[in-house]
Amino acid sequence: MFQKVLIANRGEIALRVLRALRELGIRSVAVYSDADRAAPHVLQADEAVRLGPAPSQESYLVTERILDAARETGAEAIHPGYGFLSENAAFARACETARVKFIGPHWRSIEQMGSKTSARRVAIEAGAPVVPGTQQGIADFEQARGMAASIGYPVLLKAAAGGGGKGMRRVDRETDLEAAMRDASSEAQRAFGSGEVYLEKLIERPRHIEVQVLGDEHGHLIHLGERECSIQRRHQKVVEESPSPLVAAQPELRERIGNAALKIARAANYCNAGTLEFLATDSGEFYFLEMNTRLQVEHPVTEWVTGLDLVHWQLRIAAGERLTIKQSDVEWRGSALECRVYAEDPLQNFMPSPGKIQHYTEPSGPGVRVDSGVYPGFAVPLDYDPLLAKLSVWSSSREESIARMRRAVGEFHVTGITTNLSLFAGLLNDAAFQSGKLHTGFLDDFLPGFVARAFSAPAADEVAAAILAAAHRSREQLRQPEQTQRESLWRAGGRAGMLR
Amino acid sequence: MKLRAEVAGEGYLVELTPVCPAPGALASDAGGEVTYSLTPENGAAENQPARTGRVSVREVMPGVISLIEGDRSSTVFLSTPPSKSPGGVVASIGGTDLPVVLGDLRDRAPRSRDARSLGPQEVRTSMPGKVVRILVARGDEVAAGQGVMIVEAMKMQNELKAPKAGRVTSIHVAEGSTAAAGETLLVIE
Repeated sequence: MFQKVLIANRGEIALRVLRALRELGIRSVAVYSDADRAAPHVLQADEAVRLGPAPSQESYLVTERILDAARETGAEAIHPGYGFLSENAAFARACETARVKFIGPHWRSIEQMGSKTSARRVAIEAGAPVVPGTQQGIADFEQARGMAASIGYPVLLKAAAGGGGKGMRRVDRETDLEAAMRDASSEAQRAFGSGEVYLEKLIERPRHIEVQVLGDEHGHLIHLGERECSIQRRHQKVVEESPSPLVAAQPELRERIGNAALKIARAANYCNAGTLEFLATDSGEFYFLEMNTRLQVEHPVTEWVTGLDLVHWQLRIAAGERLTIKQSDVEWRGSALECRVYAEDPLQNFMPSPGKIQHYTEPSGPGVRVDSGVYPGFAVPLDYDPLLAKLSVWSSSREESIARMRRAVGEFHVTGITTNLSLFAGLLNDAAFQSGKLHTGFLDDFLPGFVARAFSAPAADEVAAAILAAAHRSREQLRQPEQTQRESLWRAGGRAGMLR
Repeated sequence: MKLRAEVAGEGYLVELTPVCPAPGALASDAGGEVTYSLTPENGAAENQPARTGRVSVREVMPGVISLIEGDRSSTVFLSTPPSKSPGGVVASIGGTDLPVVLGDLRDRAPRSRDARSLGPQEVRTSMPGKVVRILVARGDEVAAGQGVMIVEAMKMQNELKAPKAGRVTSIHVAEGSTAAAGETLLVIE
């Protein structure tokens, strides 16, 4: 096993890795930018090395600085976390050249699975299902008609040269196809200078289901089941869970989708931890989307239900140990949920809300886990992802997990900055969410009603409590100015007299 | 003591009378019991009746206020808003954030027929950004939660929403201009 490992990341994931290192008796090296001098991962690490100024292009993304830090401190391996350099094949390759072990897959696997088109090719060759369609332009209407008939309606026409919805048309019937092709093509021509369009099957209201895989460097590879991450906004996941409510309803799906994931991962000679993302329909069909060649943000839900520590295994595998767990050893128990607590305002279109945290209480108690990277008084920097904490819970059923999460969200208090905790409170009380009828458009459907409710007049009890608390505070501040003179609520000292 | 409070743009007349502590108790505690009365300035609305009560109040940690009224216990977390509005605090209770401004009775705002439109509310940006689009004009009537402006910050376009229903009385920025954190962009009255 390694003696010393460098963590090339920040925030909650740097702490998550640091905790695993400490549990395995490995010394830790943190790296930090100027914005993170007081960040928890720096305070808790055994050693810490400054990388550079706040922008990540000048700090957490500079390969040379990170490799220098590893050399200076004698770290034998680098854990990249997620984001930053974690899926950068050139970085993994530079580590290999520098004889520092990259804790993750081989750089060739990252290269192969990093591009969507190349990953799709690997999946097709491995015999795994992908969204049916073409990736190249369609020559003429006859070809389009034949293809649409073979994959089945509805289909989606997309511009080959671009994205963002331009040149995109949904087609429900063959009679609409010719006109839709003409429209899509002329729109694509105007937007991208190329009228080329391609065609794929439209998956309606799909679920996002992903499979965790884990493999050693001796050819042994297993899957650890699925996570459902359909609650997302602009492709950013917000709530994740395992098991997927769909798998709970169709238990054989786990093996089918798990085996498809293993086929693809094997074809890429994959080792260490990785995740294969699929779109799934309520009838149990699924299609490979892409692979994340790293540890996922939402790995705690898999750890809850399998009882395995993924970061421990990442380290042991990178150190050359054999993965001693057979596929048949993997057991799934209960239900886990995770909420991503972001510094952003769900009532203002998720506007980031950086700043100094004033009060901060994390939930605790049975079945609750918090992976966070902040503390009271910590200023959340503008420069990075606004993830403050991951709140995850476990209980024996989904229903109980939801109740537990609702309880835990109620115990989580953050002031000074705005968080999205109120969104979770609303979501956990939502009947459609509770019933498990999820799809990737769920949150977009949910938000307008949620925002409208939040903007309605506050309850009388809340108003009374707010006034009484604020009045009490200001009275105490007048009484004990030496202790709390920091900010008197009163506009002028002269008015104080009449208030006593 | 008598004072005026404004919560989420709504005005209240507040009267607080400390209840004498039992002998030997509470002398040095940051707390005690008070009787109170709250009267909405614009007459009691259906959801905001005038009320009176007796409550035990204690600041258990800086900014954390415990209230017990009858057998009902609640905790309020007070913080100062990131943008400095004079005299204001944010009271977080049960997941709801309510801006509270305390003042004396002379601050009382002129009466209005429409209770919801009382008190101007400012639309601010919590972070520096560029004003991409202004969706309303001066004089427009807006609904609570309606989008009024699009600001780009951290490479993301964010639609700012009206904090209350009312009329747009002033717009302080132009499309394409840069806004600093906490800057007032637009006022709704």
